[in-house]
Amino acid sequence: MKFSENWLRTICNPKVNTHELSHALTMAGLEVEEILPACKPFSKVVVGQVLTVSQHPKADRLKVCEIMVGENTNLSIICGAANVIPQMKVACALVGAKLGSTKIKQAKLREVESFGMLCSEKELGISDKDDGIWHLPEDAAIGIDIREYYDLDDNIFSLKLTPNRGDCLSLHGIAREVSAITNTPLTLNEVEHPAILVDDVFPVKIEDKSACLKYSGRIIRNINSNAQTPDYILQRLSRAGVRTISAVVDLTNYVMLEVGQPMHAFDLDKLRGGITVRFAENGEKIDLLNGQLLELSSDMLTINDLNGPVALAGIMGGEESSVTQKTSNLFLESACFSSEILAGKWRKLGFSTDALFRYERGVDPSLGESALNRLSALIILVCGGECGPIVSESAAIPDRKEVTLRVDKCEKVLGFTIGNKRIADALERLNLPATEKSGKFHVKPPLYRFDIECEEDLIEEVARVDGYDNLPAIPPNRGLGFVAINQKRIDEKKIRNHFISREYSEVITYSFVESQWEEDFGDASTKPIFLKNPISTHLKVMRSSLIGSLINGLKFNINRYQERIRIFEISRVFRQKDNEIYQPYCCSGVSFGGVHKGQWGQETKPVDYFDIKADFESILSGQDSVFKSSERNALHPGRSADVECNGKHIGWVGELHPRLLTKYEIPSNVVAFELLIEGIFDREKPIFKEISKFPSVVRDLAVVVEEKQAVGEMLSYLNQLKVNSVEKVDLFDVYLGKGIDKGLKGLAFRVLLQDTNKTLSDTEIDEVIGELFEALEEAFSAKPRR
Amino acid sequence: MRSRLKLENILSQARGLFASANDGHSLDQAKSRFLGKTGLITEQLKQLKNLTPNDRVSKGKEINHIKQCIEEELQLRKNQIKEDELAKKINDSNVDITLPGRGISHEGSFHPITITLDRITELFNSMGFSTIDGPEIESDYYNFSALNQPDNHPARSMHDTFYLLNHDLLLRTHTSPMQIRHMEKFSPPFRIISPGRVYRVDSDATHSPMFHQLEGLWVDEDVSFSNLKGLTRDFLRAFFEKDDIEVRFRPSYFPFTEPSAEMDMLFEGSWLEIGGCGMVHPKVLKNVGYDTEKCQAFAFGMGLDRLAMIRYKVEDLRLFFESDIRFLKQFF
Repeated sequence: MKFSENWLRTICNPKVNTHELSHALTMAGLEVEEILPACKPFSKVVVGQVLTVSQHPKADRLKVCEIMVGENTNLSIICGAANVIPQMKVACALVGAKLGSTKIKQAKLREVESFGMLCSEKELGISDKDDGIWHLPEDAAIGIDIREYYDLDDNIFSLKLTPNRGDCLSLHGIAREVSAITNTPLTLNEVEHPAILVDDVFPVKIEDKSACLKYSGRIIRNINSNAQTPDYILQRLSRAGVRTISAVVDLTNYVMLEVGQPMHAFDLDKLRGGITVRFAENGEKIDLLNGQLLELSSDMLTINDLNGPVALAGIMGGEESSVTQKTSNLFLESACFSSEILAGKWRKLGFSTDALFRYERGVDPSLGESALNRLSALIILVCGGECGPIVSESAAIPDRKEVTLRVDKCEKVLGFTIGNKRIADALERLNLPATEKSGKFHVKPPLYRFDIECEEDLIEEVARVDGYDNLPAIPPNRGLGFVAINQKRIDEKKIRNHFISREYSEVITYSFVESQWEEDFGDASTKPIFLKNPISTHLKVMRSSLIGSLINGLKFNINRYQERIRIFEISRVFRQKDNEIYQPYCCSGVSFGGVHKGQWGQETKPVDYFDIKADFESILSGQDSVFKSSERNALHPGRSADVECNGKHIGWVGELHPRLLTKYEIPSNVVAFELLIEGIFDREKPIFKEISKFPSVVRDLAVVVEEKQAVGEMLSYLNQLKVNSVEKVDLFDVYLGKGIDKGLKGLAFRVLLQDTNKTLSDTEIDEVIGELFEALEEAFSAKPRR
Repeated sequence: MRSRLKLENILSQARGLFASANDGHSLDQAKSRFLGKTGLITEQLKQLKNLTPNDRVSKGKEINHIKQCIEEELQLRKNQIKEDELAKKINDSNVDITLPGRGISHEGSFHPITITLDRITELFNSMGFSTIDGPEIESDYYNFSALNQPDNHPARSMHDTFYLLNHDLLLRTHTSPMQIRHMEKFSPPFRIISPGRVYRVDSDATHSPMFHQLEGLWVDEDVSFSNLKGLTRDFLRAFFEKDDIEVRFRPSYFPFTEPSAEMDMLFEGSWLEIGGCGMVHPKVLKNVGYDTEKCQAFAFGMGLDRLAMIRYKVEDLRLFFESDIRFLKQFF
């Protein structure tokens, strides 16, 4: 809501300056977003009248003008504008005037003296008009300061109003607030009732009185629709950000800004029969004033004449019945439409209007007729015409429910002793009629305060007018209780610390991504989840995997000449199965460049599958994990694995498919992983086992197998065998080349043996190793390596 | 006399030879000259058998004495050679200890928002607040209706909401749905915070379509609006480690709190917006079945990103979400 400060001060004029007024409004909850001067600073510019215009003797394009700026004060001023003619009233900057940083001096232009300057609207910062000297109205008094004449020493306030304060969408409403918070009286003029000079009426009917509480209308005949809107009204409108259209429309907007009642003017001669307010029938159409042909549906309330819809109730008029320059007879509408009916309609329409905005937030149902009188009086004043009687139809205006404010409750909620007196004072300043009885205030909110419905609403009003600054800051003083352990946060922290200690930088990226990323890197088991209204067309799908975003981050850094990049993110991913949405937490990372930062005494090796597999394995710390060949499209088919832990799929690790490296123009290998973190650390709590007093024994086991034999399978097989006293089997070497036939590979396992009751004898050890050999031979056709 | 002299002579001879031996091998050679099978001392001992029993005893003592002395000398020299060898080995293996370490360096980094969130969680946990977490794809009910914003409520236009296609769901516009989700499950009194990602259709230098909020809720018998002011002020003082921070409440409107306030903080001389807060609206409490005469509650929501921006003096919010490692590695 934008408005002129000077206009406000004609209704309520507190003894505070602009800055203080702004602060007071903000601290009362009517946040002032911005204050702009109505006009750029300038001084010593007055109204002048052109007496004579003659050609400059030495310059074709210049004219020498005789300007009267006061009684017996004529100035000779040189001007280059083409529109200067005798008798014209102009804005004349005197010698010594300041236009921004420019100072006007007496000057000689091609040997002729000039004693000032004639100004365009643009030069004074009034508007962008720069096609000549500002042409002032005929009746402008000569010599008067332009700033005074146009009331330019004014400020434009922009308020950011909260949706509960529909009552402040007018100058009267804001003035009421200012009056309450600054304790300044209001100066509201009685609304003038125009003389009724014609007696014809246009009949009005409401079909559904819950949708339209009241509809008032009247005829005004014989107006001059080409009349000029008075300057002071144009200024106030323009400072409120309202475009000028024609006198009738401007005045309608003006009264809406003044009192808060949206109204509409029809061309009476284009209406037939009478007005009916009703819901539209599906398929009916209306040509709106904004040029849109709208097909109506039965939830849209319309204003109709005999032939059908002529306006969208409370939103916008129709083109056909609109006021034009040829209009001479008016039908004015002032109605109260229900906010429930109009709420949210902007979403359906794709646009909103000042009227709709107000109706959605609530319009005082008692305002209609007085606003209509105010508008009629102004129209007659400006456009002439003869006024008919008001015709109204209305439902019974629902009475406002009384709200009780208990002093003790108020003090319990606010947390300090405010006392009856301050409460009474606040209510009175707000003009909330209250009766006090044994610690209770009974308040009947006025019709325009839609936001006061319960006790808490009044508590806020009291605290607000009393001043939130008077609210003490008292730290709560309550006993502490133990805080529940949040395992998810602990797990997340553990994972985060793990990857950071392995040189990854944590990133946070958008949860919505490009469809292409989702196609290339998304989880194949899920259907993409699209946004209905994405922030931009390329960020339209909720990510099922973090890899696309990480690759994007990787590219961002590669483009900035980073040679070694490791980034990871912990975030929800979004997946759907059978139309059901899942949002599991996921940790993903990508790695690019050397395994280590380039360093002395060690060759730089580009990162590969096994480096990142180690990052992955170490987080699982000793849990049973199985790496199985992965079939994910985004990954290199021979260098990637799906990972199961305790029998559950928990993620994958692998090198990016070379096809995608090319597509995303990534110059070298990228290894990525995904870890679904929910519950990966869920394990039975450990119970202590006695540590054996007897020494453990380590033996090596060397075998030769087919080259394509997966070693992981052999390891899990050996570890699952549970051969007597075998504690653990690890792999410590893979050997190809000399001494091993082609197509085969040599493997060396290290076996840890431990018996809890005795020291193992060599015979016993040999037996166990022999058993392992046999097992390998049987299951994998392994041969002993000599 | 002569034989004694001879023995003394052997001893000094041994000393000389041992001293000139510089490694284990030459020391062994020197040793055998005296104590070996044909060594000088061994020879002396062999000749004892030619002496009278009396002479044999006294002479034997003398020889043994010298033998012992030679062995001691030998041991001393052996130790010295070991020492020398170790010293040489050490000297040879010295390195430039100022060269950088090898292997994994400590180049990883926490995201500044994570660091901020950890600090906040730590502080609120110490005040007895539990941390809870909730879904980001949310239903209209939890995001709006249960928070006293029925369909078409004008307050809904305060949040430009992302909706899903083909689902009757949305991306949560604030962390407040967690108030409802928690209250539905638990009875008062309790205190919780719920941090997380939230989404609004908005994007420029100070607005990101995705950002982070921290929701706080305290339900108890009589926690008040002044308590809310006290708690948030003390929190901000602890978080920014500045005891002169003041908090200002400005009247505002949220459908789910009444009274409501915007929270501003006086920080290094200017007022900065930190978030919104208020006393939980009785309609919200009644919706979850609480008795509003027996309990009251306050709630607050702060911008995590905003707190991080102020703490680290980051001016452009977008930097947080660009994955630029030159930015990320500045934080610890």
